[in-house]
Amino acid sequence: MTIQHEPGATMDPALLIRHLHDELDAEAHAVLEAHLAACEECRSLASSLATSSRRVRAVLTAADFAPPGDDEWQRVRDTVARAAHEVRPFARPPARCAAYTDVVPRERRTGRTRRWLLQAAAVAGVIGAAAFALSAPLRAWVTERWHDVVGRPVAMDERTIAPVGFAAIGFPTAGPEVEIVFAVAQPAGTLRLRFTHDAGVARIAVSAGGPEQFVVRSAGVHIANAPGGVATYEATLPREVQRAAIRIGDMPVLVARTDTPVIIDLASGRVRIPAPRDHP
Amino acid sequence: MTLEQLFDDHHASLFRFVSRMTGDPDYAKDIVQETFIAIAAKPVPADVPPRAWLFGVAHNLAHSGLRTGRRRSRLLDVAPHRLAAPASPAAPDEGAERAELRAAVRAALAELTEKERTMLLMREEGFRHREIAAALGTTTGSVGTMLARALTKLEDRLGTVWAEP
Repeated sequence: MTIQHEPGATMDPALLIRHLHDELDAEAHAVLEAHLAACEECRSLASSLATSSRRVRAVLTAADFAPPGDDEWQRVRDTVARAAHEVRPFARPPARCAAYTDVVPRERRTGRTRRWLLQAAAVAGVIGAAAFALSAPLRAWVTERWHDVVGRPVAMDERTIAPVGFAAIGFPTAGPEVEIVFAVAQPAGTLRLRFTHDAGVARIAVSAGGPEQFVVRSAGVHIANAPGGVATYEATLPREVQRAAIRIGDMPVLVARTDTPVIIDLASGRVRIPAPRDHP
Repeated sequence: MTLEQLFDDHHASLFRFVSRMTGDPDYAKDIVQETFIAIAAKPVPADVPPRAWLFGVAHNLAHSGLRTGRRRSRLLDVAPHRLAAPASPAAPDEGAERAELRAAVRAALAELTEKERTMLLMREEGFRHREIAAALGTTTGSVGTMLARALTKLEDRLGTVWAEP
């Protein structure tokens, strides 16, 4: 690298900027240093650019706005994390088998897959519609599930006072088993369900495994009443439970989100949610 | 590097960059949020430095917002009550002085071209010339030229306020 310029002129300021910002390689840096040592005009220009650079930095800093506080940044961070959680599963399609992608052209693959999926969906739709039309139990089951989701208009028993916005109660029949089916929003973690049997015999049911009296199944918790026994159970559903269904025998009796105790009296066949004044 | 790490490492610098560019701290905070959400939707390419990519996205978002004109009136007329409060108790006229300084700085930055301004502000955040070039799709030689030009313009425009900070 050589540096030449006409007498009375100076070198390219861009070169000096790269020198000031330490962006030149070692050889160019050495050549420029030697030139600056010998050239008063270029040295003056370099000094002027360095001064301007320092002044600009100082003025920008002095005019800076105060950044948001930690709480505000935490809210932004949470918003970003939520957005990331929502978009990432859709960001990239699942990988295909390498051999398959190597052999079959993309258009043929997608065409075949789409046709196969449409045919399967059509067959499933026909079967489902026929079953729904012909099967009264299926219609009843679908209706129940629908009510599980949207709630049901029921006449409230005077002893089953539901805190508004928390739970809705149906009318149970007496039966030997209580099944609690719950839906949890979070995909991982342990759901803890507290059961109190009679006078304060508390048990914890978790989402996997369970004591003999409370049979925890993949779809819910079965409470098998002892033969001939009469017992009152109290189930406390945690806040994580978004939807819960309680059945005594075949009869669903509860749908809603609640963190209030649910009193299940197998002797009378009643399920009760205490009124707000009964809460601890 | 995860999105959370990127956020923790760079949100403060990104805010400073965008607020200097736009003169609006509220808008800058929104842009920081939108930038990270955009990165979540379309991750940083493997061959690009994440920080440079981040600033490039923020720059594009800020300028697309400016171009639509939705924020233009806010940018041209930042209300005094929205100026940041000083970190410590100060003389009553410090707010006015700072507002004057900001107005002068914004007017001087407005004299620069968009590329000159962006390059200068990225350089102030410690970017190397090649990183700036990668983020803005230009050459390192062009970065040096534009930075020199920007400094010269600011020297002319801000000559009266040099002594004040």
